[in-house]
Amino acid sequence: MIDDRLGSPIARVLRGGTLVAVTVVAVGYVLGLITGDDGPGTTPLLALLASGGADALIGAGLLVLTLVPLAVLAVAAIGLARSAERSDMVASLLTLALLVASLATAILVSAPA
Amino acid sequence: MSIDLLLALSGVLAGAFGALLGLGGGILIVPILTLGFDVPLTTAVGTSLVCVIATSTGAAAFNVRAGLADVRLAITLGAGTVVGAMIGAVIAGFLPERMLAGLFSALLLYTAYTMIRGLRRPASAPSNDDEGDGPSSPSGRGAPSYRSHRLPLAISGSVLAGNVSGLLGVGGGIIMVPLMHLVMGAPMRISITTSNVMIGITAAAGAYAYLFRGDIDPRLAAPVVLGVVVGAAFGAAMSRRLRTGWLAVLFVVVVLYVAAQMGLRAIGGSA
Repeated sequence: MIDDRLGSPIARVLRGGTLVAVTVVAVGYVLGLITGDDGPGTTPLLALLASGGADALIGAGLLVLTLVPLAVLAVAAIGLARSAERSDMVASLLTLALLVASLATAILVSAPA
Repeated sequence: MSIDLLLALSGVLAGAFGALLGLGGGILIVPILTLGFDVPLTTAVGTSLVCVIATSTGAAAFNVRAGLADVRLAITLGAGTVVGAMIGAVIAGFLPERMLAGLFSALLLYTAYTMIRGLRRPASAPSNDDEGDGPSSPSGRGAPSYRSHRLPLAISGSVLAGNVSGLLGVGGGIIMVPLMHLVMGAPMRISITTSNVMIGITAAAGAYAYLFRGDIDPRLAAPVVLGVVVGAAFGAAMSRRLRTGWLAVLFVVVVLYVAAQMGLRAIGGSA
C-alpha cells in the first residue's frame, strides 16, 4: 500500500513547497518587524499583493502554502497515470478539480468589479 | 514582540499536537486566538485553516519521505472529504448548529467508547497494530504492512467527515483517524500519518475563500504559521518514538475533550 515510487516525488513537493512558503512568510515577517508599522490588518489577498512590501510577501507565502496540496494532487495524478492505476488517478483528478474550482471561485468572488 | 512570541509558541504547541495525532491543530488554534488574543472568530477560523495546511505539509513531508503515510488512501478518502466540505459549506446556513453539535458529540462519544474497547483488547487478539520491522513492511523502513477494509463505507464516512468539518469548523482528522483505524483496520500510526496528508487537502478547499476574502491578518498569521511548521516537524518526529498505545490514549483524551465542547455547544453553552 505504501509506495515509494509515488511517495518520493510527493515528499519532494511537500518539503520544497513548505520551505519556499515558510521562507517567504519569514522574510515578510522580519521586514514587517524592521519597518515597525502595525500592518494593514485583515485585507483581501489581491489587494494585499498589490500593495507590495512586507505584508504582500507574507500574503504570497500563505498563498504558496495553500497551493502545496494542489501541487501534491497534480504530482500524484501524474504518478498514478504513469503506473496505470486508473481508479486512484480519477480520485486524485477529481479532488484536484474540486480544489481548483474552490480557488477559482474565491478569486472571482474577491476580484474588484 | 512578546505577543508575537506567544503567538509563535501557540503555533508550535498546536503544530506539534496536530502532527502527533493527525488532527491539524485547529482544535487548539481557534480557542487560543479567540479566547487568548481576542481575535474575531472568522479571522481565527481562516488563520486556523492556513495553519492546518502548514501542519499537514510540515508533518506529511516528514512522514511521506519516511514511507509512513498511505498516500493512495489519503487521495482516495481526500476526494470524499473535499466533496463533503463543499456540501457542508453550502448547507451550513440551513441546518441548526446546535443539533449538529449534539450529533457530532454523540458520534465522538461512540468513537471514544469503541477506541477504549480496542485498547483493552487482549494482546493475543488478531490486530493490524502488529507494527514490527519485519520483512512484510512494504517500504522496508519500519512501516507496518496491512490491508485496508470496507473502502466504500470509509469513503462515505470521509464525505461525512468533510461535511462536519465544513459545518462546524473542526478538522476532519478527528473523524478520519478513528474511521481509518476502526473501520478500515489501518494501524493507529498509519491512520495518523495518512490523516496528516488528508487534512491539508481538506483545509485548502476552505482556506482559499478566507484568504482571498480578506479574513486573514498577515501580521497575526505569520508568527502562528512559522510556529506551526516548527511544531509539526517536531510532532512528526516524536510520533515515531511514541508507542502506538500512548498515541491511542492521547487521541481518546482529545476526542472526549472535543465531545464535551460540542455537547456544551449543543445545550447552549459558550464552548
